[in-house]
Amino acid sequence: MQVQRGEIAVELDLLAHNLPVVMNVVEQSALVFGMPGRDALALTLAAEEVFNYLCVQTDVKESVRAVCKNGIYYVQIDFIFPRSNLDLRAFNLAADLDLEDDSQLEEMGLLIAARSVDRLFISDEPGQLMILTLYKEKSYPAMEDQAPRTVEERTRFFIKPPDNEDLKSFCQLAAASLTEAGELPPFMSYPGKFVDMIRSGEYDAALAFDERQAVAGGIVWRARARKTVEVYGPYLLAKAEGMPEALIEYCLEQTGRSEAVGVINRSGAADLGKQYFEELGTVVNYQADGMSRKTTAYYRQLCEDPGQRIWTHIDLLPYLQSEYQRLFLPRDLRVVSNMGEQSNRHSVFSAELGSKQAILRPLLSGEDTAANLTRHLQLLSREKIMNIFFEIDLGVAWHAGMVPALLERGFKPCLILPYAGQGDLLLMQFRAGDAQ
Amino acid sequence: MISVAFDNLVPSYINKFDAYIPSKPDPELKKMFGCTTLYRLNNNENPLGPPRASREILRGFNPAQAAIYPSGDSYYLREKLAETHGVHPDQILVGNGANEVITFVINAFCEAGDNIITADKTFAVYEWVAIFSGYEARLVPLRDYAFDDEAMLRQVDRRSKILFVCNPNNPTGTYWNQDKLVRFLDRVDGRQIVVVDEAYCEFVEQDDFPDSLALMKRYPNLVIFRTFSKMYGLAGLRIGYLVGSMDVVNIIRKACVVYSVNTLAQEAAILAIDDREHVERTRRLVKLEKAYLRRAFDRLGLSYVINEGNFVMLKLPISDTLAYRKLMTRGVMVRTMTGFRFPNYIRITIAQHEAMEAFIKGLEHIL
Repeated sequence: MQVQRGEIAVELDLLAHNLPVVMNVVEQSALVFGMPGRDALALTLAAEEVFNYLCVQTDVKESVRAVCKNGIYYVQIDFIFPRSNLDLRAFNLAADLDLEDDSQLEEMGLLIAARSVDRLFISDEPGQLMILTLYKEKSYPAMEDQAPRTVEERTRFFIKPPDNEDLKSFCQLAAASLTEAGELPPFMSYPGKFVDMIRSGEYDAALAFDERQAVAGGIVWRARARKTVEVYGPYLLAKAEGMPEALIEYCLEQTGRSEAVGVINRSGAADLGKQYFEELGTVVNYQADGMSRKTTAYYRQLCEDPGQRIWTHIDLLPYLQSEYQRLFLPRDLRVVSNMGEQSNRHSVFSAELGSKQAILRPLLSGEDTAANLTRHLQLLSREKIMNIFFEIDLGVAWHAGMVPALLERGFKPCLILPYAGQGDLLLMQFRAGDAQ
Repeated sequence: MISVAFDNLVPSYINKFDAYIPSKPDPELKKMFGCTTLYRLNNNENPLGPPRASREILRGFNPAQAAIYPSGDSYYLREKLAETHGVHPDQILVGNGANEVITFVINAFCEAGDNIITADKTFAVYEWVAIFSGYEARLVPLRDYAFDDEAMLRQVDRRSKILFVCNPNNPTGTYWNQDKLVRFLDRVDGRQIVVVDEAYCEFVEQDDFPDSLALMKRYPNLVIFRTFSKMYGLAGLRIGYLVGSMDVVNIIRKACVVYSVNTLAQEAAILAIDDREHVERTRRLVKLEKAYLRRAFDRLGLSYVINEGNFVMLKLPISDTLAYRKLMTRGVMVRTMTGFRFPNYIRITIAQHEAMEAFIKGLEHIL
């Protein structure tokens, strides 16, 4: 079912007169990769701004490699160039650029770029080339509202990999059967996108069918990081004894011999097969009406835990020690401390925004981490986003250095996601009343 | 630093393949899990160690010999094995563990576009070697925990080159008897190579286990794998071998790496072969401790798969990998079975009673 993904690359000197080449390559690649015209234009605009900025900010002798990748349901542009001390603060959602200040006008382009794409990522590893990645998802028609349906009993079922029509049917039946808010992942509201996600090979699914070949249930999974698989479901569209267990086992058999160390299930559906999972913890999602909804995150390791080194700040050490002991996860905890070393001037966070929650992730460290956090919190509060999370990678030493600022501003550790980044990921949740 | 476009150099089948990461050494594991002793019940090693005569060889090894290359084709060991099995020495190829002879066979017979056929829930190395060598591995589901002969035959097409049968199967311990293997070989009718991996054959107690060495005379496409890692307790020296008809071995020899088996392994293996007392002692231990485990599992109300071999499989009401971590903190290391496509099962190597008791105590504690 997987299709050819493909990529188109161009290498250019960082000179302004090369800008039309970059724009053409990006736009034409996006169109060739099946991206609708409006989305392709937005991506081209982002690429234009990034290339412009690089031309102005970096040495003219340098060159950049722009790689356009077909992700099937998205297009990705990587700008690969020698490391430099670029100031990328404008990539912050809460960048406070002064429009009256001419010296900051150049950075406006980055702000425009950041807001024209769905996600961006910066890889800035010592000894490596710098990679600035832009992702833009294709637009898909949303599914029409489905009339609620009753979940019926079935005596027999079988499981098999689905075809495209099965997948679309699964989305529609799931939307009609599982009506509670948050029960289904948002991507399942776009059946065409869901099909493309599976075709891309990034996601996989198994469906259960009843004796009449109708879809009776399903489970979806994707590689979240190199070592972690995120599982959604199982979703049951019919009642059949043993079906949730069979779907989970199918998924585990498919992922069990992969490079992944573990699977994470935050869909809330894992309690259908509790014997397969361990409880990682619970996240409370606050709602505008003052109510809250708890979501339990489940985990299952696929192989014997190889153990790993974890970086932490001393303030976080007791929490991590206690959690790792509770979860029986062997970890070598190393404490980082700031010893006066110089940092970038400005930090950069990425922001994943939903209607009810935001997840911030550090892209670059900087001297202004605390102030940048405050700006983000102010902006998100103005947008009435009740649930604000900050995700740090415990496998990346400089992330741990941000902990004091996070604790000071009211973030509390709430969940460890084993192997979900370079190391384990720690999710910290903001509670306004907890600011120190 | 120059930039290297590794993607342009690496075959796509390697890019798609996920590397296997073995467990850390025991001292590291003990440190990680905070345990002082460690019962290794994960690799189906022989808890009694090597036979007595092999131990003497290991103790008496002359360090000066380490500077000399070993016999490149394990000459004396092949002579000894030939005498034991009633075949010609040139019908035997020795490798650095059975894993290496798997590679020899696959490389000898497969080319781009070919496939091998085996079970989905068996020793993973047949599948891995095929995939990282660029060949398709067709995996047939087990039937009642055993290799499904008919389903395997249905998977055969004109590009199928090798059918791998693990007999008895690791991890389920099920086996094909003489009649079933003969029927299968008749159906294959010489169109493919049939590999029967008998890594655990010395543990089998049943009379109808095939005499595969005798069958080789009738079926020149039959290749048999044996190892010194299990019954003979030489896992740390890495030594295994294959036996086949002269014609088939002459072909496999072309893809065989010579000088890969060290001197110590060759000499220890020669002396291991004749130690019947070691085999009997090991069998007695396995029988006794299997019975102990069976009683304990029944008492705990757990379902299990106990057949041939020096291992048993247990179904847990919790995640097998969580059970592994919890048992490790109590100094017991088992094999999780999710990677064998048996979620929530663990495989336990039969070991001395003290280790079995520690395992059962640990199990009672974590459940």
